[in-house]
Amino acid sequence: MREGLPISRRSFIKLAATAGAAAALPGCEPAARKLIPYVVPDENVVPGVPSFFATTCSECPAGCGAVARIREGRVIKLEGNPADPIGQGALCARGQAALQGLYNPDRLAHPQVRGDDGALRTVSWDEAEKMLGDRLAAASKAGKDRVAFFGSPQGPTFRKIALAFLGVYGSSRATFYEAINQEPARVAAKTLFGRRDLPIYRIDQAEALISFGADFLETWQSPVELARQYSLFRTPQKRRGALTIGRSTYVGPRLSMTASKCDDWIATAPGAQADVAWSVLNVLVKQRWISPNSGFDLAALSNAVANFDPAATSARTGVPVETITRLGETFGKADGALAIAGTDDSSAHLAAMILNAVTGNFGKTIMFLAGSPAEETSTPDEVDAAVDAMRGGEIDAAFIAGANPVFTMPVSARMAEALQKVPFVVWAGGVPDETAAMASLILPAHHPLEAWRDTAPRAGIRGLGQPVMQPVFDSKPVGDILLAAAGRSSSAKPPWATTAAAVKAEWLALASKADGAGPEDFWVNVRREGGLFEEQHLSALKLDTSPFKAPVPAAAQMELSVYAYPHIFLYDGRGADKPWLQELPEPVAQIVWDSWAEMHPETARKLGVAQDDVIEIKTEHGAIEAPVLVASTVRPGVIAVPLGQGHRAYGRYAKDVGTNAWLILAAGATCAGATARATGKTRRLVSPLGKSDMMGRSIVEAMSIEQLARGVIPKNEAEEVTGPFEMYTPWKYPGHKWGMTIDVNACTGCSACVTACYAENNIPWVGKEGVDNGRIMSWIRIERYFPEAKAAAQAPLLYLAPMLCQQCGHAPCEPVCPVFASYHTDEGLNGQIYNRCVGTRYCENNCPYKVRRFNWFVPEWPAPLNLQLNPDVTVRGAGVMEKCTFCVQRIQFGELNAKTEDRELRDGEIVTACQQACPTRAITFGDSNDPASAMMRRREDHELRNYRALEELNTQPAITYLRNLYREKGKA
Amino acid sequence: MAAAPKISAEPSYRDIDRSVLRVMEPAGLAYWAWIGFCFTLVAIAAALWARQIYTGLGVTGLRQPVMWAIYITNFVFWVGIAHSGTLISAILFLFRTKWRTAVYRAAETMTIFAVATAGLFPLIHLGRVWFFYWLLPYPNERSLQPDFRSPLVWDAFAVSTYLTISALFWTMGLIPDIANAREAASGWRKKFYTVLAMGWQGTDRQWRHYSMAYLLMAGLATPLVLSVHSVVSWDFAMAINPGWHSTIFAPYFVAGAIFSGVAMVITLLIPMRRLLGIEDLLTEWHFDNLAKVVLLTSLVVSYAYITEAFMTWYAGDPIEQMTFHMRYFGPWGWMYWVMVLCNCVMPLLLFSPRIRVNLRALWIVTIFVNIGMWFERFVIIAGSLTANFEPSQWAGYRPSITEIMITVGSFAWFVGLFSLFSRFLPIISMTELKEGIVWLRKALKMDRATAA
Amino acid sequence: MSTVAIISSFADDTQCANAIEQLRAAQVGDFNTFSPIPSHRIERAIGRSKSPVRWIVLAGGILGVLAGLAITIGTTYEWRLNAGGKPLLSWPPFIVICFELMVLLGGIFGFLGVMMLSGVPTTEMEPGYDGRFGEDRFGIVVRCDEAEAARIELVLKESGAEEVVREGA
Repeated sequence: MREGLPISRRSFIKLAATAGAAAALPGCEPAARKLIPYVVPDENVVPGVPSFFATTCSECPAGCGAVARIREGRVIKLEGNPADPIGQGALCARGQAALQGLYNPDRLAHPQVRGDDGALRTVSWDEAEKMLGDRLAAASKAGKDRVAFFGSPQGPTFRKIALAFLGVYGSSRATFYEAINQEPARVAAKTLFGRRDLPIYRIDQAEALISFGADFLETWQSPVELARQYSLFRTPQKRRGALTIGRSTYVGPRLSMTASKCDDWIATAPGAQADVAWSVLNVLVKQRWISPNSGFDLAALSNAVANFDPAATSARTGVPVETITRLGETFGKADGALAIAGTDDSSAHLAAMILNAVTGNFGKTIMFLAGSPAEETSTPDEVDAAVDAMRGGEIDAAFIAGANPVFTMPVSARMAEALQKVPFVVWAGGVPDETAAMASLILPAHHPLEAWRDTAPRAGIRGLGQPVMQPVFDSKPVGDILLAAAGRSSSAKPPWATTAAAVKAEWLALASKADGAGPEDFWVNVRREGGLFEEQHLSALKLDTSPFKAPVPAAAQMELSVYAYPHIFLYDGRGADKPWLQELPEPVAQIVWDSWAEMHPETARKLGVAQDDVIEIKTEHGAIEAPVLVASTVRPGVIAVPLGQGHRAYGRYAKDVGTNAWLILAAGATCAGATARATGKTRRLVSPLGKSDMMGRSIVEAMSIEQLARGVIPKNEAEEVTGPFEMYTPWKYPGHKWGMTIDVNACTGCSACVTACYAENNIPWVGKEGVDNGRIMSWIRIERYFPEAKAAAQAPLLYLAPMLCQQCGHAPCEPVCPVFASYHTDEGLNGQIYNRCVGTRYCENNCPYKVRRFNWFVPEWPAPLNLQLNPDVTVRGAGVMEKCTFCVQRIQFGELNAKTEDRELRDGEIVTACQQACPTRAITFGDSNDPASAMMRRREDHELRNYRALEELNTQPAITYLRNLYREKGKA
Repeated sequence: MAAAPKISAEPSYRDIDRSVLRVMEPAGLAYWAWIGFCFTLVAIAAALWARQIYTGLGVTGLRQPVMWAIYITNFVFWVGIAHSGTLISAILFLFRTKWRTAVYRAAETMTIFAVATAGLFPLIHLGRVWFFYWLLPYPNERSLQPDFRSPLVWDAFAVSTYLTISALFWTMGLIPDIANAREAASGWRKKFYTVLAMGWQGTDRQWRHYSMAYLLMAGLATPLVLSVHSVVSWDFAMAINPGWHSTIFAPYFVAGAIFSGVAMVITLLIPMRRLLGIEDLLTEWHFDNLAKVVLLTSLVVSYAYITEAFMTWYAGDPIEQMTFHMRYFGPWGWMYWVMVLCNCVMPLLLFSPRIRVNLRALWIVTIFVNIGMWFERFVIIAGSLTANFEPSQWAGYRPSITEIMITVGSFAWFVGLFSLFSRFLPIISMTELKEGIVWLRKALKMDRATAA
Repeated sequence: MSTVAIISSFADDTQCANAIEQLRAAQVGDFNTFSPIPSHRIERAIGRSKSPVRWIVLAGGILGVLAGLAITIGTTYEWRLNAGGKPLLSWPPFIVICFELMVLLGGIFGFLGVMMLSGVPTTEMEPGYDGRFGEDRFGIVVRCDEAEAARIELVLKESGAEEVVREGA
């Protein structure tokens, strides 16, 4: 800059920017905010540089912390919050897909009133709120408790707001409804310890784990956290001198993704898990594998489990006696064991809890914390009461927010009927769903990411959710709507005017807890940290063995039964409006954009149906139709159907996709006796995968822990690896040479990496037809292979591993490209230059891993979904090839940072999207030129498990996989 | 047109000129209707291509992992067809083969139009056809050049060279004949041919350079024709895919090319001879010899199939073996066996001299050969891709209406151009026929003998 | 003295060649023949050396090879890119390019060469050209002094010309 120039470069740019803004947008004040809509002061904002905001994930009750990545005022990615003790920096697919809820094109844009003809009429907020106020006032005049609030639990502060709102209108009818609640577990805890809060688990502290139908890697309680613990549990380590991995057993009707990662899958009929659980306890009692200070009276116990002699149980459930006794033995002898249950009957939960108790594992692998927060979810009885009240005409005005009871409640609850009895139903939310269709006033509510909120998932953990961007639509926070409504009433007003105020007030009340810092510092800190995370204390347990005087009765078994489980991605149905989740193949079934009736070939034969035949499944509660998926991943006699599909509303991506399995269930149940018949119709189930048989090729490799202990590397007869072979002088990579290590043993198949990749790299979805036509665009996919029948005894239950561009050193795709669109960078990346690509597709033909994706059409992101696009990544047009880039934009960002700060790039500074998202940290990215890098060290530490996919082709991939570990069958 | 008057068993130069030039007299309605029909189909194909360029290749049936299918199959098929032309016009010229004189012009013409058709498909199959010129080196300020290691670049060079050289060769052969046409024609046609003849007069000076150049051109075209299909085969042999990665591809493909090409010549000439009334110039003797070439190449191709199977078994690579297992017995196995029937079994009939000169039978055999050779390319190209290294990515392929209509259009384009040519330029080289008149006389004698 | 053109036509190339020999024996140099086919007899009779078009084709071929080497090596070094870990100078592929260009330029040169040497395209016809010479007659046109004419006509007639016409040039 020249001497004595009166204006510095910095201030010049400032001026220029302001001038530009002024020119661009008339009306400076609001424009200025519109221009850079930030919660933080504007100086912090450098266009082109992302800023991060800690917040919380509100896609399921687990309550993981999240960090929102903001570019130019738009949230473009959600990642885990490293400061949060639950997620510890990871976030599942569902959590990340929250963005598509935020930007969903079908979100309600303006308040609407339903006329008598049923047609919706758009009205202004003033009109809507006036109407709301008047009707509520009228209702409250009619008497006490004439107003009801029915919603999902949205945090302690929101709870207070809702109650205050009701209070103003002289009512106490607040219902906080979760379709998938933990009632059975709570009941069990109540019976045994006289408390209803949920324990927390430490799988990593156990040596043996039995899951009685709990899909703890998918949807059960806190999947991200438990997945992390489970991967530690499965990491080989020396126990009593021997190198071993934790032994896990899954008892349940379906080989879920969770089951597939266990050593054994004991296929029982749904509901029979309890029987097995009690029987295992029976074994423990017989064998006296009871810790002396368990506080149980042996005699009483043996009396209680009298009905569950292994032989008897075996007769009832078809589970071999030796299996049960072996389960008992491993569990009883283990130094640290954990039994968990995910069934709909509390009996299994009770048995599991007793198993943990009698083996003295409380406080070790499972623990109750002191000062658990107040229970957020209403009990089923409370919910029933609320619905009955509506049906009984006791409610004049019902305010529904966050929950979709019309969809998730069983037919028997007759929710729809109940709502018809309510003269005035208000619905507030995002994408209008089945419940909104029954409301007379529907209001656009903020997405959680646009609003202030907090969570209290467990003792010692309070998550703070702050708005991460300006509202996308003309919406308001539910809390504000309630408070505004309350404000209109003449009676006593609630203490706060807005949710923001309420949250801040609530949190400042906690300030005292925070050591030293003044309230404002505290407020800044909790917003930076994303919450308040304190030490957790065990609570003393008062064991109550009184219930076990009489023998526990054994439940009857069902002939043909249907088992409905929450879909790993769609959960109870709330995920169905998000194309990322719809197009994510269910890890085991590998099916997209549909529901399916999964049945064993035997069952199919009995019913005389084949793959893709649409069958009608009838239970006492209702009937659904779904196409058949024939697979030996379910127990014979069981039809497994995922929940979450079959919406009749809820936006373009959810509407009329699949079938709603809630309709055939009783309240709180996950299974029912059923009859099935072919309808004569067929519907193609669509999957992006071809063969499920690996044909002995080294794509996903596994070795037994015994082999690892003996130091034997399994021989792959299908191929002969002569090691890396160089025909020419190898190219030099003087600077960095990027590489990746993927631990297949740690990978659970949860597909968080896939969603992360979609979000980071602007990958379009193609819809059901697109997938069927083989045009799915995912750069990283989960390979799913079944072990060959003959080798099944010496193989994992299922092969699951991420497959992405291997960034080969001898990349077959490169020399065939006529225009150098595919070439090798001097940092060892397999570069793909979209602008240069002419679309011969030769590279994909020559790619052994088939990880390249071609743009068959011009990709589309219906507004405002396009706002989510990552500005650092090109949006590819039709006719060009694309593929995994190792997140080259992140590499660039890291390298430039290091350069501007004039320092060496630090190991671990660059984190790829897939690596960042992985709950089990299965993926490590780093520089292969740096032997000290975490990535290279991981290869070192697990040398025996190293392998490269299709290594005999000598493509010399930059990705090294670590073999999956299994336990040789028939060994204790 | 009117049935051709039989020419004497001792035809003179004049007889030859007359019967060839008669073909070039103004054509009737039927002819123009046929031309119209052909180019309507071409127009439809063009429209579909335009749509494909506009919306993207999604309108095809292409998918993971079958990135190449019908388009590339057509490319290889048409390049193959082209080869017989150059074989007959150049290679047989060097060998001084007697029977080539009557056939070579038609065959060579077929070459030109076949290459012109083939050349379209690499463009049609491109994702971004508007950048096709990036495959050729040209000076640009960003130093962006093609990668000469890529077989596709070799293709670009080989095919364009092939088209240019055969066009020049063809033109050279035409000039003296057009000069004759110039003398015979009247009206606008005279002007037309006068321009095309470029003032050729057949002086000794002209003939002297002409003969030498023609010889050298033949010498250049001979290795070229062998190189072109080798290069095409390397598109596949250079890839590592099981089913593609094979060293026998070059000779295998060249043999297949000549096989299909000569078959196509026969398929075209048999009806043409009747329609244009030139039975006296294209005698059974000629077809007998053509049929022998078909038979020979058929045997070579069959040998290649066996070798391929043997090498796969002998090499003992399970992945390769699985791919071939799928080729023989997989869902598309029937295509392979259709191919074997058409390419290996049917041609065996040609061992019988009676069938070789029974033009109806011969015609049917060659039709089958054309079908078989198309399937061969499809089985190799698309079939191998379906059974790749990644079982999880195995999938079938179904062609879309766009691909089918464009394929139909390519046949219409080829036949249409050929039909146009056959009435406007001498379909048989008068000059060479005169040179070899002795052989024509022999052939006619034989014909008449068998007829009597 | 004015020059004339003597146009004679023959039934086949043997007679024509024979006539040419006679003419040459009679020290007649300035003649020109027309024939429907390239005839070695006639060529031998005239006895000219082999056509120089050979050298033009050779030049084209060599130029092609050089051009091939130039673009392959040149462009590779203009921007050294690593594709599949293969060496920059991958000769086998380069040979393919060189070969194709050799054939291409060789062919083009040959074609242009023959056009140039044989004087096509041209608009004016040699004196005495006649359509029949393209069809089935062989013609010799001698340009000579009026005084010479009679003698030459005799030579032609004796060597079997079907007809001999004299034209004032």
